[in-house]
Amino acid sequence: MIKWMLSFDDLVSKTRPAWLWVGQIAVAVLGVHLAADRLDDHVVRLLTATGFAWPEPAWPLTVATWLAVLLELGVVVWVVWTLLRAGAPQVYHWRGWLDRISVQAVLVAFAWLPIALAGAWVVGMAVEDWFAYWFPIAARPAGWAAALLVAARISVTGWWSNVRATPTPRRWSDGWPWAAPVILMALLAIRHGLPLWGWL
Amino acid sequence: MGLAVRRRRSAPPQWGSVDLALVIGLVFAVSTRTPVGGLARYAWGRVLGHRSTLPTLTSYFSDGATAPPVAEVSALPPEPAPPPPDDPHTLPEPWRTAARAALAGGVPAPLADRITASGAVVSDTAALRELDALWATHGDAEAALEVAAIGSQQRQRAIGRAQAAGEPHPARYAQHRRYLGSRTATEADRFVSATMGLATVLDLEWPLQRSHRVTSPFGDREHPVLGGRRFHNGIDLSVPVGTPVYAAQSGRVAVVGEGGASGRYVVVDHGNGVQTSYSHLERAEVPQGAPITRGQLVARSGNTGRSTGPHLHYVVRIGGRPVDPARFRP
Repeated sequence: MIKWMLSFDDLVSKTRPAWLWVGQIAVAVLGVHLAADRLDDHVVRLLTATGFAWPEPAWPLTVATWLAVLLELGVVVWVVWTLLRAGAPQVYHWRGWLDRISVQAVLVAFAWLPIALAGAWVVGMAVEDWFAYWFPIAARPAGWAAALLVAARISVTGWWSNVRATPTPRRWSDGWPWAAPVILMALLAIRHGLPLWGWL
Repeated sequence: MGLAVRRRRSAPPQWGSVDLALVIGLVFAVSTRTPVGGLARYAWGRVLGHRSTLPTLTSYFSDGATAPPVAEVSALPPEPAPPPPDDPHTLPEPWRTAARAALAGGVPAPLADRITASGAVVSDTAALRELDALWATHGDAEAALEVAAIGSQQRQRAIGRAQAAGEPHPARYAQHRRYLGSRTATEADRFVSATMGLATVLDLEWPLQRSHRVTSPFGDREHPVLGGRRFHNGIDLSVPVGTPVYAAQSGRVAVVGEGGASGRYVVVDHGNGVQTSYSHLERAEVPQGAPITRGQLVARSGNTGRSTGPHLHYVVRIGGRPVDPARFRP
């Protein structure tokens, strides 16, 4: 039985390049959504603080939510674009990464990880909720196990392979149009998507 | 041969099956919980030739602090709220009346379980009795209602997550609501937000202290300027220019604006999805964003905007939906 399972695992592992990228995109998309879900709250506060006379009181919330939706879709496009472009030979030393440095390389290095880790926490919470219906005692450990497994197997490995396979830029400014929305989402993911702040 | 077998046995697992299971789970989560997933399902449905409808992308966002539209408003009893019971262990007014109205939408499952466990039959009266017990335990209406709606374990789990994420007031429903599962959050909104919203409107003061008459009630009416039957989203109170207008409840000034049919206006957010607005003003007496107390002077009435004479246009909204302010006149 174990032999059969190992063979199956071996077989599935050989197909990994065909589907692992889907998981790397998915975990980042979850993280981006968590961040965007907080972005609208901040935007509402900014919009109401401007003193602009809105025709209806509900307008700031509507505008903020749609802005968050658009930014979320934009950053998801960046995630997919980044992953599709990360086909360059992998670098094994930070000097190699410095040779390819650009705005895009910095964004991948510093923004991808918090977003992907926030996505792992989303999965952890969903697993915990699911377990709570059937096996409440195990819900919390199961949620944490799922979050850590996704973080270790998908989030961190995805970030690492993307950083190492950053393509050589044509200009150092490559990727600058993405900088503002991606940094914004990454900061929100750090602030609201990592279950660490309560302990700090 | 023996060496080959040993080598095969000692070969470490590649974790491919685990990774594949995680990826499948992630794709499922994305497809059900994010706007991107909604769009992908829509596109996939179109590819397969199904008649799928474009999802509302904003519905994947939890605003966290605003109550949803309250269907239970219509279930409010027509008579004024009964006087508060003397017993300090019962859920006080206005939450009691609001909870009675919210129970018309059904007794939440965890509350029904508590009633059944105590050997009683599930009914609105038994539900209120159980709510009293929860109030006595928690000493806080919002917490008692939330435990009634989703159970204490779900609530504690969400508070723990909000705490871990460093939310400023994790025990408050508006702060930890987004850490509930989506189904649980919907159930909590149905009962907690509805009751808290109703309790807030039941506790509104009238914005005028001097005598006045109602020149145009809430609902469909013949429009005095544009003609034809149109929906009137508030109530018109005839008062001279410069009459003091007071805040119906404590809250925060959400908007101080000017323009269009409303003239000068002030919108006050009272929390729990309840807003009041005061239009056709001569001037506002509070700045936008200012916290205000119940009965505080917020404006002076006037005759600005589309108006046929000096009056105050007073609107009460629950979850963005206007309701008849006269129903909540103390």
